[in-house]
Amino acid sequence: MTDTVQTPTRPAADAPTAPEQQLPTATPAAATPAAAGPASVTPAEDVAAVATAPRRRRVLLHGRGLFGLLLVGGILLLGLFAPLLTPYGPTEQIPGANLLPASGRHLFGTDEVNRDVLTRALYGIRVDVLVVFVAVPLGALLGTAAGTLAALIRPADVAVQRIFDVILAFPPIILAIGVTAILGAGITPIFVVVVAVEIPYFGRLLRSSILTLRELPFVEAAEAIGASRWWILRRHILPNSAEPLFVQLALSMSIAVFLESAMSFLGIGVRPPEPSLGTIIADAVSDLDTAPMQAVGPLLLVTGFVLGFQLIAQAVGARRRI
Amino acid sequence: MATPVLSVRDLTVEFPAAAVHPRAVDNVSFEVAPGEIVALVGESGSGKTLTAKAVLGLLPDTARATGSIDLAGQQVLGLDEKALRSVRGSRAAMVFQEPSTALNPVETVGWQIGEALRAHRKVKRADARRRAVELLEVVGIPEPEKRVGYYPHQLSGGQKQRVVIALALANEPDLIIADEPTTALDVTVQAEILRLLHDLRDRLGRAVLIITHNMGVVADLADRVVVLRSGRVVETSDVLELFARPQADYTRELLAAVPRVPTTSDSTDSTDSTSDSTSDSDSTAGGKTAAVRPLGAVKRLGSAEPPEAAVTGDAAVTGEATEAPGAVRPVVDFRDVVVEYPGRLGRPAFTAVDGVTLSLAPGEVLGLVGESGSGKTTLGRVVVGLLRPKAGQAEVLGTDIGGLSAGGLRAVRSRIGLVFQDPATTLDPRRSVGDAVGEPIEVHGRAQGRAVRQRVAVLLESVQLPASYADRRPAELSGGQRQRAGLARALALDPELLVADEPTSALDVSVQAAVLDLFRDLQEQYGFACLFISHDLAVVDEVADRVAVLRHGRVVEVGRAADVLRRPSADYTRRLVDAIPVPDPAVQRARRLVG
Amino acid sequence: MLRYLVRRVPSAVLVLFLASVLIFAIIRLIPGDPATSLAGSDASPEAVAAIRHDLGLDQSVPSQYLSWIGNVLTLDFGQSYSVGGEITSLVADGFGNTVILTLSALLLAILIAAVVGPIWATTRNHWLESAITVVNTISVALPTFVSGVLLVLLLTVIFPVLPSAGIPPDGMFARLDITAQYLVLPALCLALPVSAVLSRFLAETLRTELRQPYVLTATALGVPRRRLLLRYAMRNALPTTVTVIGLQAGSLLGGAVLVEAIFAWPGIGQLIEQAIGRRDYPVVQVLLLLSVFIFVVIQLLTDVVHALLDPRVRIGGAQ
Repeated sequence: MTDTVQTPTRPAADAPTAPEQQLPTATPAAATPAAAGPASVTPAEDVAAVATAPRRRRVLLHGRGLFGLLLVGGILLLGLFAPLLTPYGPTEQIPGANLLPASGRHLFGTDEVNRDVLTRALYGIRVDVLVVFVAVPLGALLGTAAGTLAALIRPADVAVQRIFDVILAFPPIILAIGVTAILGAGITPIFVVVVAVEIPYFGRLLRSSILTLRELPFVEAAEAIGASRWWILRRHILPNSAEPLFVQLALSMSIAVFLESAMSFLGIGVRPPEPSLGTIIADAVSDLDTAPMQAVGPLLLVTGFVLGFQLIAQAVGARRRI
Repeated sequence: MATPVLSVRDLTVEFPAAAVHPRAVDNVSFEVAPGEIVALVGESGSGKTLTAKAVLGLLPDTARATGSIDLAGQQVLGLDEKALRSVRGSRAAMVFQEPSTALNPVETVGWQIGEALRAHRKVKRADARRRAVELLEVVGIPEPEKRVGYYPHQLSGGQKQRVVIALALANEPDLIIADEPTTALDVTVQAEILRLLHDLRDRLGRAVLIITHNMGVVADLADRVVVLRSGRVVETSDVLELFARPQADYTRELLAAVPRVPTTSDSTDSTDSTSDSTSDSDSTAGGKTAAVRPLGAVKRLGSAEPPEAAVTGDAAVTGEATEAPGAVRPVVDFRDVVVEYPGRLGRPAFTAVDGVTLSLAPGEVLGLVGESGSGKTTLGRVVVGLLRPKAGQAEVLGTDIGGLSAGGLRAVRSRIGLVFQDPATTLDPRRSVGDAVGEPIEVHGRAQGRAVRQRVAVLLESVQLPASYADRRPAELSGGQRQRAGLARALALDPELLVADEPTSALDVSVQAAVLDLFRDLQEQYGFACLFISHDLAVVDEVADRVAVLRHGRVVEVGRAADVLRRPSADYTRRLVDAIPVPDPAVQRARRLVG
Repeated sequence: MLRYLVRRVPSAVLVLFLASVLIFAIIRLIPGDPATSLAGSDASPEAVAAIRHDLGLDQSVPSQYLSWIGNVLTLDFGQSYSVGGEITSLVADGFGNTVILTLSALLLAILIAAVVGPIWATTRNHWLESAITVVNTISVALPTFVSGVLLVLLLTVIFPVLPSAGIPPDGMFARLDITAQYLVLPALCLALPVSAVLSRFLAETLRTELRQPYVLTATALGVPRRRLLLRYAMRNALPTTVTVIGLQAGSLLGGAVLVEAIFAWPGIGQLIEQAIGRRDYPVVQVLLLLSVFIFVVIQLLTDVVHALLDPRVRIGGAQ
């Protein structure tokens, strides 16, 4: 989340003339003695504080990162291979199978118009896949571009910032309602809402990231040697923004899954008879006492999807903070 | 000697989990007598701060301490949290390095003093306030009745440090432990805080254990000195004895590495003679007072001469010798330059540089000195085109830097090198050292691929770094090594002008001495002109031909380094020079009696 | 402080204005003639014309906006075509219920965060920390409607101890114990993700604060550990936490729509859902505008509270 309070910064930025910014000796790493004295002034005059460079890929190969990856990957595969995993079609009405409870034949049971709920749930994943891997990246791209524009071109900044403010003034679900009011229910409003919601998040992230990085000595140093804006952006700013962007991407994907299913749950998303996890849950709520698996099955899928992306974001984010 | 207020015996602090050097403090023993000032001296990693923290049981959880710490009859090691709490602040109290972060930012000064009192006994609100005002008075805060209701951000750095000292005094401890209490402060403020610490001993009879890396502070304050290195005590001795006849090799090296500024009281170079062992640095410093460095005798390295022939003066420089700066077209020519930072939230704009006139001749090193807020860094940023002046004429390398287009600025920048204060942040953490050093070459398209790598190797060698370091990340280098890499990068295009902003102030003295040596060598070899920005007069004295003293955005005094630092004409410069504690206890005592 | 407000208020007003223009545009953007779709397919031309006149569709666009916003500002929202009756009174009825729900949820979330945050920040017990982390992660990830359905399943179907839906039959304030029974599930469901976000943020901020030098100073003066956490670190964490609470208000408003749908809570959310289903655009517009207005005002308020809590903002101007 981006904070909206801007604490006034000091007007004068004359360099802090603090000499000898000593590392706090409290940390074990800094407590390693710098051994050599002035007599042995060689290039290796003091012991390097060897910090291993952050490795992003590694964090996704163990612990919560791996768990998140497996969750997302597993659910993804379930959705992609839906036709192979179930003998029924998503809208196929099975004769004589009305509101069957969960069984070996119908893991999640069947609904009031004789459809297999598991089949519908598996096909329902596909909508989320589309939203997560098309709408979110699109929103991310637009947001990133807008944020970059705002950070680099001063006149654009005010306009872009106000646009972000206006979008952010609508809580996502409220925005979804507004958009549906215009476009009607369906997959299009879901796309529009997801893209619109992501734009200010990525935009603000990149804008503040650029503004922060630009103040850092190594970026100023690049500017001072005559590097062009494009060079600095490509060589220094984007690589150093990559990790927060990746974290935001994973978070946004989890939000997108939530938004899709919430909109469908409210009846303003995917229209029946097309399957979506949200609509299946909404339909199942009324029969919760007789056929709980109809709701619980899709609920687990939605939760697993959202949780998976959250865990990936956490794993990468935790690496950043160290 | 009376019963010591603090007696440390065989203190060992270990970090069992640390891969390298798990033993950070190794069998350290020393004592502090009542009313005595003892200095723990050492460079970073010497274990001085850990030793101090151990006295109050403030070591991190990962540390294991053994030995004995006797604080006025109370064994500190092995105490539980509750018992430690009753010791902290009442038997000994601590003053920390950074006054700007040592105080709770959301509470008033009075509240914080009240907290210190309440930590040890029940105090009525009115009594706490009365005591707070009293303490603020003791530490020399003006209008204590009013200031007691101030928040930390409303106080200056020096005043904040005084408040921190007031907190330490609140429960009348016998011992004050001061960990680098003046390191973050300007010299003039440092002088005041040192005087205050002296007073605490003289008037209130407190013992002081001061932790510092600064030999000047040691000479000024200490009665006795404990020199630490890599966690071990190298030497313990009386302060006069230590400076006059250092016993350990390390102490001698440490003293020799300290850059010195001659006192204004004796304009002869007597202080320089105390450090014969560093022949190299002193001969340069001494020799420079006699004559300005020959400018023409410089050898330009590399063929990467800028294509722009805009500078008419350039030919003259590379030609034969020039006697005095100003005879040739200057590299930097500033007339009445004004720089403003726009005010935020409707506040008036802040004038950081207020009508500065300066010039820098080719091949000359101009030291730009001043305290924080003097505008020295701002000036440096104007020179490299990171800031545009609001008024005045700012000519750099023959072109008006304020009115340049992006392309023109780029061309000028290819002829300027820049070295920043903190080498840890000037190199992109994600890119290799080789990338950083070669970046200017690539940016200006002077070479590609292998040629860049070869040039990088040459550059690294010229700053005495192995060529293999090109593949390392900045985090894998030490502070000194990073600053060398920063220098290599600045020299990549063989600049005519180098802007160095506090290039050594983040380094240990011994490392600083080495980097300054290197800087002088390179300057002679490459012959660039240099704007050397520093708060440290002694450092500037070592490298600069001329010195400009800045204050509140104005030039107070300019002149040859020898003149300005030894016979300052401006009042402010004299105060600045006098405020620097001389690393010689005898001289320092004499000065104190006079002042 | 005053300067801060002077700067902050106009931008909030601007955002509100732009949002209102967007919301106003809805009625122009829907495909087809809004009056026809509102009146229904079998309406007489006179009826359509009457609606058109009611909506002001026979005027120019700017004057339409002005009269619409004028009505809104005087709380005269006009007629609802589908639900029937004055929109103003419809909204007023639902509004009270929603405020009760969201406020209880917010208080619950703050309460949970205030307990969990400090424990999480300071615990050295590996198991406790893992347990909190797992529960917290799941709470953040659990979509509101999922936790809602699960809570209903658990506490009204499997262990029927609580009423599953609706509001107290005798009114909100007749018997508070009954109200609490009806309120607890939806409020908990709404509070869960917010409390998780707040706890995580608070724990992280507290950890950061406890590492600050001023805490070391106070430790060295003998201030007890508990006080360092609950007075020093907490007081310093407060301003930013308030800002985060303000941002979470958005997810409370959005979540209320979902929660009211699950628990049949007759609030604004339910009204909005009905209005969408019946394409009753004037109602949708009013409710959208109301949501945005509340959200923007809450953020403005939390910014002001932030400024009040932080003396560096309140009393600017370091010397």
